[in-house]
Amino acid sequence: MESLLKEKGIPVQDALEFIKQPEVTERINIIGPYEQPLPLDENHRDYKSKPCMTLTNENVLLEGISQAQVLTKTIIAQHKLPNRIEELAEISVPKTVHESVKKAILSANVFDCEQQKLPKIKDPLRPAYNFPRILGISDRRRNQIITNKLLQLVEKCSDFELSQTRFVTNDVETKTVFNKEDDLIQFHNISNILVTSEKPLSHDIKERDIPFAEIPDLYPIKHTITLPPEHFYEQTSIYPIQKSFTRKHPHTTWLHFNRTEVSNIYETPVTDLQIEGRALTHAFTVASSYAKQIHGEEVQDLPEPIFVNCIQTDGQKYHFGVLKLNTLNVDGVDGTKNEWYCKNNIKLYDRSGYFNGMPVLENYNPKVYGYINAFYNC
Amino acid sequence: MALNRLFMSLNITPNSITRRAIHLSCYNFASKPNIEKPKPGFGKSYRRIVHFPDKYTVKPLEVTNLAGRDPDTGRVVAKGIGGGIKHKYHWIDWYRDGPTEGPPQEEKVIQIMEDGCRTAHIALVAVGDKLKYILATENMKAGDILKTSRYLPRIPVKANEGDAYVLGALPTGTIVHCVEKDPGKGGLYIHAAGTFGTITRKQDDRVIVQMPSNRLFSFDQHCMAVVGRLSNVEHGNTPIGSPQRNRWLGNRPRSGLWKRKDGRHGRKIRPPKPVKEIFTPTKTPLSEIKLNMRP
Repeated sequence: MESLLKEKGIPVQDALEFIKQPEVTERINIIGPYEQPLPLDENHRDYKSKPCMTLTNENVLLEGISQAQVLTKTIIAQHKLPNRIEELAEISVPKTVHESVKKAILSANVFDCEQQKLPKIKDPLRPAYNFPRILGISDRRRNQIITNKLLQLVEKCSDFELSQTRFVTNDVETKTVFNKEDDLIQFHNISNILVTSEKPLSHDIKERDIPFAEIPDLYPIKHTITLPPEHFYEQTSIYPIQKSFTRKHPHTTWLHFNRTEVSNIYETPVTDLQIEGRALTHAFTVASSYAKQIHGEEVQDLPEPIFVNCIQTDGQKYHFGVLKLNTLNVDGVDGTKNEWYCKNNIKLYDRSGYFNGMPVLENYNPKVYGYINAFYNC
Repeated sequence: MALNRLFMSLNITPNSITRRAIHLSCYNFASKPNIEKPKPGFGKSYRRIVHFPDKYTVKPLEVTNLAGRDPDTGRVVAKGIGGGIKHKYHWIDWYRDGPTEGPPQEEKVIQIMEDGCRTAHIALVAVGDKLKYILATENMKAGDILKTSRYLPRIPVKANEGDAYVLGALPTGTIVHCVEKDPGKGGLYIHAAGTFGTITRKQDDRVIVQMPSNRLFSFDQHCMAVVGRLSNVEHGNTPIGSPQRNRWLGNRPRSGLWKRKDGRHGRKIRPPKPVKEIFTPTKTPLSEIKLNMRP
């Protein structure tokens, strides 16, 4: 029978074998030319269930400086900088130096050959009109050039011995992780210029009657608003300079405000209060990561206060600040608080650029150079 | 052309159907295929598709314009829509939820903004950790505190503009907007600029609200409503101004003779309609059971 069927070409199979389950072959996982990255969800091996609220260089706090005050437990002295800085800023500077500053501003705004598409200009009264697209210097590059040139000028004009004690780094990353009332908060900032020194910075603030602005109550808003939660993070702080280096104590940090990079999540322009808050959180990041490097991760109240100077700029406006870090324990409103002395919104110039084909610099303000010099020399 | 040649060579003997009749019927069949496409209206506007993410976010969302076309079939459903400035969509949180007992939840207004996708203005509001958008009322400004509560008290609450309470908690004569159809389903009625509804009377469990069209609707007393009149009150009074401005709003030129006294444009005098009860039917109609002889 079988042979007859096989001659016809009909396949024959034993009935008992047909009933058996088919053999399960092993599935071969073919990876491909390279390892595919795992999707960043709960099944990733680095996923942490407790979210960490992160503040980076790109996002800003909703309530600006008030929220930064609550987060870092700081009291603010508006329009007041330590006396030594005010005295140093009063020193008259030779005219050639001011001429060099003007040259520096022009070289940043006008005499640079970068040609990048600048953001579109929109007129709210004529929303449908497309203005011709302008090519020019991007704001990141403009800020870099002007701050580096200003710092170089200050270094040239100051004492040789003083300059030997200072060390300048560009674009360094600082990160600090801390707890505030059951929320894990992380500030991850990039310091565009960090000036460090051999000896720790100290200001003698002897006045007793400085009018401080107390920590505001943000009810009904919680202090973690507009801090996006991240599930992938590390719990160690980063200070960019090693312990073994002599000139590791942070002195001044320069922060750039690039309107194209820093924005709100709801896409409205960043307000002045938000910019000031950004300076405070940045100074806090640098100071606290340094404190954690010296005293360890779990330090709360510092034996000696740490001072950090902070200058924030968007090329035209300068915001100066000095942070006195007393404690890293930011829970609640009582106890030792940190202090922030600031002077905001000082314009270096009114208008600079090409107008009618001519390079123009209007209304140069010589006081700004005085303050920058003071910040370097104190 | 090919049809002509096909029918020229056809020889048909029966007299009841002529060759011409068959030709014509084939032509009509081929030229009007049975296209299924939806009709405009029924609450659906074929203007834009918003790409909603999974979670609620305050970031303005990307939008694709449909220009009157149905997204499934791709055919034009509504005429006169197309072009215009593309606006990003601000996802509004229609659920003004509050605690069922205890003090009302307080929210702070951060900013009032204009939205390109609707006539009313929107307000950015912050509560605790979250940011959300809601429709802004007439006198709302940055820094206001708004209250929401789902509690139904015995005595009506004295409500301020912008607060959200249940319809049963508000006194008669209150001006409301953004009224819920079903408790917990989000505000569905009265969203346009400058509109408002008035609570006229309360009947047992239901509250009767007069809509902007002067029609009376009866709502369940547990439905949430926001107190006040919507922002941008002058919107209804401002004329569009120019045909180009109409094109910026996304309206293409429409044709059709307008006769002042006839048809849908004419004046109509009718008795007022009875109060319409707004409720969600819980009983669905029974499905058909067909009994036939096939096993």
